[in-house]
Amino acid sequence: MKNILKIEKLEKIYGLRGNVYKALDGVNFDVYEGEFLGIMGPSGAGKSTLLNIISTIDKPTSGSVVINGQNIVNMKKNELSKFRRDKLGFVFQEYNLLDTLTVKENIALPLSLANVSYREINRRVKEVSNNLEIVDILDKFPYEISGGQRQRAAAARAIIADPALILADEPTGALDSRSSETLLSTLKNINENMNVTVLMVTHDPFAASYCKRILFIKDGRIFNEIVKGEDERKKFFTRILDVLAVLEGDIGNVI
Amino acid sequence: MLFKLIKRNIRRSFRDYVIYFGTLILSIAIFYVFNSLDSQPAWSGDEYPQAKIVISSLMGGLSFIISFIVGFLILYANNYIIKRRKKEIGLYMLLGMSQKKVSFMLLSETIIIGFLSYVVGIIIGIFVSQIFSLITMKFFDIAINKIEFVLSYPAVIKTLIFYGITFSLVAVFGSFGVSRFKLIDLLMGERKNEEFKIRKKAVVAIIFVLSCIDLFLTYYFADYVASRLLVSPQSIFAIIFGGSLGTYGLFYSGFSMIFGVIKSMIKFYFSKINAFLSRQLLNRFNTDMGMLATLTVLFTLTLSVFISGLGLKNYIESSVESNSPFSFNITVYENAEKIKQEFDEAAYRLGKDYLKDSLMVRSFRSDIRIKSISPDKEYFGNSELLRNYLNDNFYIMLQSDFNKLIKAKNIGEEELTGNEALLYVPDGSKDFKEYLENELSFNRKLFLGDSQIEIKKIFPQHKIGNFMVFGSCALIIPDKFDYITQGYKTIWNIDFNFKTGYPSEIDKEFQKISDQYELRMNTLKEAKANASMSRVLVIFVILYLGITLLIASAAVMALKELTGAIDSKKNYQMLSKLGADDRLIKGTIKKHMRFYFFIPLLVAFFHNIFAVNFITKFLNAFNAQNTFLITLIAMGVFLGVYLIYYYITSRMAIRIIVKEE
Repeated sequence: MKNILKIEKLEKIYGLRGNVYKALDGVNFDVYEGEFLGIMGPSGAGKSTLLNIISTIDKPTSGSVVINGQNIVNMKKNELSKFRRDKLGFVFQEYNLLDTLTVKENIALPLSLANVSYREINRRVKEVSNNLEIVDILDKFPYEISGGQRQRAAAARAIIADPALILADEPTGALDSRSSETLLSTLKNINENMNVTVLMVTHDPFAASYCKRILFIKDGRIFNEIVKGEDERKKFFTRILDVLAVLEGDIGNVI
Repeated sequence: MLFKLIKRNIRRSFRDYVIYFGTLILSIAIFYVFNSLDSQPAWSGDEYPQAKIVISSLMGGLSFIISFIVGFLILYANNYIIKRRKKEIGLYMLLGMSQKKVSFMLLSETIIIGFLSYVVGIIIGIFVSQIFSLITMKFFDIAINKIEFVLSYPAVIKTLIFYGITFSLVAVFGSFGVSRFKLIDLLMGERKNEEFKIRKKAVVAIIFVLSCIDLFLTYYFADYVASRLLVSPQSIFAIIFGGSLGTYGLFYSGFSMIFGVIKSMIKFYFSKINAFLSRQLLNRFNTDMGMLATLTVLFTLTLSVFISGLGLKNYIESSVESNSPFSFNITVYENAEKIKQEFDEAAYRLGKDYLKDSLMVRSFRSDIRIKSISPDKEYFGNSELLRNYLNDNFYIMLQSDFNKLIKAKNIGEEELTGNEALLYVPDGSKDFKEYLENELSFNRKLFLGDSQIEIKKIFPQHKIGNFMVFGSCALIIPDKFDYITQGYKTIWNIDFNFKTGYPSEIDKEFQKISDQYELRMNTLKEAKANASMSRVLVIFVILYLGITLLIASAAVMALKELTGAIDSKKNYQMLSKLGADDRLIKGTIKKHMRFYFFIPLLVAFFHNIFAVNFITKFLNAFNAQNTFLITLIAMGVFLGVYLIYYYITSRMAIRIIVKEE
């Protein structure tokens, strides 16, 4: 299987001299094509730092991050913009669509930025919106459509440029349970049916149960890893809770 | 603690609100400069006795209008600042600061900022008023013997009072505002979605077409009015109303129309960030259209006033000498001989060595209409002014008297033979002269009673006498026809010409004599002084109003754009995540600024093409000129100031969106 993301000896240190704080302390892992990887951990464990570095928004102190064969650590700012545009897709929890643009224009944005011809843009938008069942609302504005439709539109935008990897940062954080479910099934859908690789950071065990594999991090290190395998989602959910109990129990002991 | 906060806030504010402070300081400096004009050394002599009073009352009146403009600006800017600080204020309240304390804090900040701007503004104002004073003295040909430092205490105090009141009102308004704040809105302020308006295509198209028609008609009407000299307060009001209506319509519909075109250029629309930029602009234009249209109308009016004011200045200059060709010019209807004798005595007694000429000529007001020059034709044109001229009566002057006048002015004598006569037009509109020329090419003969005369030519205009002597148009006839003048009203015209620097007792003595009789006396000295005075006043008023209006409007534009930048920050951040690099984002912000700032100016300049045409035609009718240079200068100054605001705003918006976390 093709390696999409390879992280080696990743370290991120905040602060200067005496007063240092290690947000990431030697993290190693790989993500392969078609995976749906979850990253979980308590607050302050380093989840967001990790995601920011993979998103190319932040730089690590040391270590390497190879996405689709390219090491992003040494890239220049403009190269990074281009890289984000071509290789990464994002699903945000909020402000995920631009209010002033129609759904179609929103979805087309990454391709427009990459200077793709209009014919190609049109073709891709049709294809993606067919898959996500949002063809009817393409000419509407975000405020005219339902929450679930908005999420599907956002997902469509994330995958339209055919990115190597889709990053989702706490995508269900601000959503009610129904909307969470729609979003998660959308992610699952694009992962399974369109073979898109997804990396999701979350602290919500319900959301995590949609993943195929979960990494737990704590104090900047990988603490545990579980794979869904042939399990039912419900069973996987209880396994996640078990690991979390250990994680939090640990914290409980310290306190 | 509270004071520490206030101190810190103000220090930070100065960097953040450059535009606001800059404008405030500028407007205070301008306020001081114009209100201190009456204490300039230029008026300290006795040559311009009225100057002080006229200037101080004029500037005082204007200052009320200016305070309104500035008050509006301050109110507007305060809203912007609060918007920028929503989160910070919310945090204070969340941490338990009472609303009273927040109000107090904001109030103190406003007052301290106002006071600091006042001090800086006054200092700048004092410097600028020195330069102003030198320029005015040069203007009035007053020798600059020593450089006097002018500091006008009344103006310092007046500025303090005017701005103090304006600021207090605004501050009170602002602190009332705080009590309406809801904590949740303050903290979540950024999350609110942008409001926006979508317009129906059909409505937009209809309004667009209507406003284009309206503007076209207005331009046409303005041209018609100016060409036919039908200028009146009503017609000017109609033009302004029509123009404003069209401008509002254009701003309501124009952007949607342009957007429609851009959107139909599908390849362009879907490449790079174009869709985002055009949607963003459309949205901003649609929400701000009222303000933008208002500013456009204001720009147009300010520019027009600038241009016509400068043209008027030229007119005042050119009209001085033709109105008072001699040092003293006395018009009498009775007792002419006796009066002339008295003046002569005084002139010889006090200024024998200075007297160049002393002469008396007669003219007569005939009962012959000017339009009888073309007996079989009635004038059917539209010019009210021309119709008035033609309905006036000819004045008549005998050749010998006329020669006295032109001899005194060293213009070659004019010989008339047989029944030849001359036409003389002392002053008046171009149209009138052209009309006469044209009529003469058809018919030169004219009956005066039973005698027929033949008009040889129109004598070229010289500075030999005014409207009082020659009326609208005078016939110069050979002396042998003097019987014609019997029964007509006689106008005696006494002229004295002195060499320059004649003793000033003559002025006083002549004034004394003229007070005893029913007569009209024009003196060159007075005319010159009045002309300089009105010239300067026109310039002062235009500069004062124009510059304040300009900087206030530019500042409002700038603040509006910065508010917009705060609102759209999230959108730009999102674009950055989607892979738009910094260069593209900065470029987009700049483009946005350029369109937003310059479209109103462009529309205003376009209106002004027609306004200038209107003004030029109107001024020409009165022998005043509008030169291309004047128009260019006015537009140049305008553009210069505006560009500075644009540049600073653009820089700040980029800082807000790209650099600030």
